[in-house]
Amino acid sequence: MVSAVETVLDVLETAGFERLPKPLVVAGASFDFDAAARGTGVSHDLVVVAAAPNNPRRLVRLLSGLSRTLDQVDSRRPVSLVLLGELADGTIAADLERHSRVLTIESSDPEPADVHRAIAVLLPLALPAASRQGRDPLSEVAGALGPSLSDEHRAFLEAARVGPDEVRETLRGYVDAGASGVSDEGNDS
Amino acid sequence: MTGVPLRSLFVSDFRRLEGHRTFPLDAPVVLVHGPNGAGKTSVLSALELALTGEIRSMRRHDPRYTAHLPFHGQEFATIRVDVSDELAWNAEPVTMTVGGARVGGSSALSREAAQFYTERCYLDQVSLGQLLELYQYREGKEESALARFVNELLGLEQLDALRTGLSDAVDIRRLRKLCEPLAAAEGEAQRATAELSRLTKDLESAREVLARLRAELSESLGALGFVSPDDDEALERARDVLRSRQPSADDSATVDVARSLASLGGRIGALANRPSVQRLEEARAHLGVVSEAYERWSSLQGAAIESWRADVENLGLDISAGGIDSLDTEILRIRLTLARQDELREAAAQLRQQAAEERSQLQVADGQLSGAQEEVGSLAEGLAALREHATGNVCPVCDREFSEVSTTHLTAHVDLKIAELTSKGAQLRQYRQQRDATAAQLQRTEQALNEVQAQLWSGDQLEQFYSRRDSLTALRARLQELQPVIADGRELQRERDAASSELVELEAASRDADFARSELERLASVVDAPPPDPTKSLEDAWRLLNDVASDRLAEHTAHKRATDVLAQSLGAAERVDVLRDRVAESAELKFTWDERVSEARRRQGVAKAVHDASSKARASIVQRVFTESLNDVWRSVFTRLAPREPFVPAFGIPTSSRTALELTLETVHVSGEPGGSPQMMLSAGNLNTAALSLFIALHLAVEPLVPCLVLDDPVQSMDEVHVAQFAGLIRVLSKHHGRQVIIAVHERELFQYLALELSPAFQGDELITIELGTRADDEDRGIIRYTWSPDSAIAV
Repeated sequence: MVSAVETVLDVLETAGFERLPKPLVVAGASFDFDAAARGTGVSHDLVVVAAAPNNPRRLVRLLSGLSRTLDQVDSRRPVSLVLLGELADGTIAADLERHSRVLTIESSDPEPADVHRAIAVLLPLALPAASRQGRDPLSEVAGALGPSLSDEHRAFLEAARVGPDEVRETLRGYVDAGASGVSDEGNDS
Repeated sequence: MTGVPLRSLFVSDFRRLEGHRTFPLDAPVVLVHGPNGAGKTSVLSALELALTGEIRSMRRHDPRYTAHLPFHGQEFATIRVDVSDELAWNAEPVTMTVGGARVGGSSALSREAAQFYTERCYLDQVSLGQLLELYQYREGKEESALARFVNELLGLEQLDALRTGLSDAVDIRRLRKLCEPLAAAEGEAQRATAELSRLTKDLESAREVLARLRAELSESLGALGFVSPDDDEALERARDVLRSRQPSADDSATVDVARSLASLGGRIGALANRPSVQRLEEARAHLGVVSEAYERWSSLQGAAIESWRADVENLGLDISAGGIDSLDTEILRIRLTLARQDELREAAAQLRQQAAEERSQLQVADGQLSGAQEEVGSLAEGLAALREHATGNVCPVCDREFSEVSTTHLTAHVDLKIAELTSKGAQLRQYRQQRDATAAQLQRTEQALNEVQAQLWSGDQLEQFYSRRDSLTALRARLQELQPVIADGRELQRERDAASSELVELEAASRDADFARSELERLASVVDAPPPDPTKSLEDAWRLLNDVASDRLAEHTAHKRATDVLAQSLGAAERVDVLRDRVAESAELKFTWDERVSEARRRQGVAKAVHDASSKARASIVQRVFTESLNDVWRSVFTRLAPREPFVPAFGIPTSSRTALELTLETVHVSGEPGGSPQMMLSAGNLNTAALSLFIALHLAVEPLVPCLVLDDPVQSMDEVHVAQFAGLIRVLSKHHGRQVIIAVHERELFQYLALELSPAFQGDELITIELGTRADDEDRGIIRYTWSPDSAIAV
């Protein structure tokens, strides 16, 4: 289980959380969670890690104690419990959720991806890069044409900025000139 | 806090909010709380109206909604919103007045920003439950709100313009319709190809003809004894040779001589079979001898023969056909005629005797017939008359009982008598037939007698016949005596006639030979040959001359043939030259049109490459936008809110390259298997979560023109897990992604939980909570601003 806790802590640290010493000490009281971490920067979350215990009531008491202690010192720090493994008793889960956000990792030997998925709510969203979103579709066409891109191709891309009729007229004029033996000046083909 | 877009809201008598209220909004997170009816939605509606100039959810429900916006009993309401400088449409915040059907004052945001706020920032309470339906609702042929958003997000207008405009380049038939010069150039190229092919064949054919003619010319010149190398100058040299070797005699004259010689050869050949001219004098002498012998015979025997002939003619006999035979024939005919007269006389006597006998027989028959007729006729008639009166057995004549004389009844007796008389009638008919036969035979005998007597001659006639017979017999005797003399005369006459015929024939042969020789002389002079040697026979002379004429004719023929072939060769060479030029011109024309078609097709290729690249780019953009900008973000948001839901909603990624995108919503199981639509696969709570997460995902998919999220009681049907997740998500949106978040909730416990969860986390971070209802009467009017302070609870 130590390795599972370490996996959770590793993921949290990678996400910008700071590992706290064990046992967790809040307002002078210590809490025997398997591990704990706190957010840094714009996050002030407190994350405690616990394996699904044989005596779940003890975990409820522990979490309840932590919650009360924070209240007593007027701490507004939100608490999240990362629970490793399933709880057999559903009512225990409800009791836990009364005192903190419960993020359950069903596997007792999770992969980093499982941990990441479970604590996702504490992490920033992965949004597509603005540069990709705002990319000009016509430049994507130019990119698809690759090294063969020439002024002949560009003429169509420019016409597309006006509309389909302009493209069609450009096509007509372009092919007509070729079929009529008219050479296009400035054509680099 | 100065970085947030929405700063404050002033409201006066607006819907549930009576009197003047100013709500500070200048914090990253603003929580609005109040029991139902306290005015939470009124605050958010006032915010929407002040920012955009309308309240969309209300307008959707009732277009005249503005009449109901003032607080009950008030005529109008006023609102004003203060926004960041970047978003401010007006120089100063403008107070809007709302009442009746009018809205006074302008909205705080530009039209574009206002639209973004309405569609991407503000999720009102009514819309959340029906968000998926609203997004996908299509009125007529209008595209759905979702499709419009996706299309705007895709930004495919220019790509589709490119693909639509270049669609004709993909299909050559459509391109031909678009570009008439291309179709015309292809037609010209085809015609030029066909013309070049035809001309090339013509040229090859003309070259073959020329080669054949030159070979023929070479052969003809060879016949004239001239051998020339077959090079380019061959025709010129041949022309010079033929001019220099022009035959002296006229061509037609030579032909005439040959023809005349052929004819003359026949006549000369015929002369060889005729009597020799040397016998001419001998024949003349022989004719004189036989003529004299005949004259001598004629003078000695002519009178007797003429006398006998005169006697014959006197008898009216024609003996030209046959002399004594004719006489014998006539004498025999007379004898037969006289014998016939004797037979006729004897037959007449017999017929006369037969007629006399038949007349006497006729008289006897007449007597028998008349007697029988008298007897039978009268008795039969009398009995028939009596039979009518004999009714009983009493005789009607004598009135006596007939039984006295006979046992037979009287009537039976009379009937018997009548029957007997009737049988005698048959005998009477026999008498009549015999008499008629005798009369007919007599008539025939008399007719035969008349016929015989008609053929019998009279005595004078018979006498003349006897006299003629005797004269003829005497002439025959005289002829027998003259017969040897006549035979001699005939032989002498035959010999004279034969001698005369031979002489005529010999004279004719002599004339023919003279003519043939003179003709040979004439023909020899025509062909410039030596005259025939008089000492040689006509055949030899003819043969010599014919050989000369044949040589001349052969020379003429060869020269003429060579001249003709030369003329044809020159013509063929000229045609080859002309065709060679035309082939060159045609090839050049074909090259020109082929070049144009090739260039046009190359350009089609360029256009097609652009079309294909645009299709590729489009597919790439669609795939990327749907996957990265939409589905990944939606999935990410949804799974944060509903981490245990196995079905995750997603956009179906369009695979068609059609311009109009078919938008579908589906679900994907966490295993990756496709599921049904969200409405089918998700619970009501998670369907709301799907809608809320979609709203947030769409907000995040585009540049945040107004970087805020305003949510009206979004967690009504969420359980605690979802609420905790929602709080985490809002915190991330606020603190990591810079979105100002304004949330209205009516549940107090939830409000307090969110206030804790969303409390300031770093220096400068703030949270404003606004409590409506009775808390508004407190000194702080229910408004608390939380600022960040260092948390010393956790010692490190």
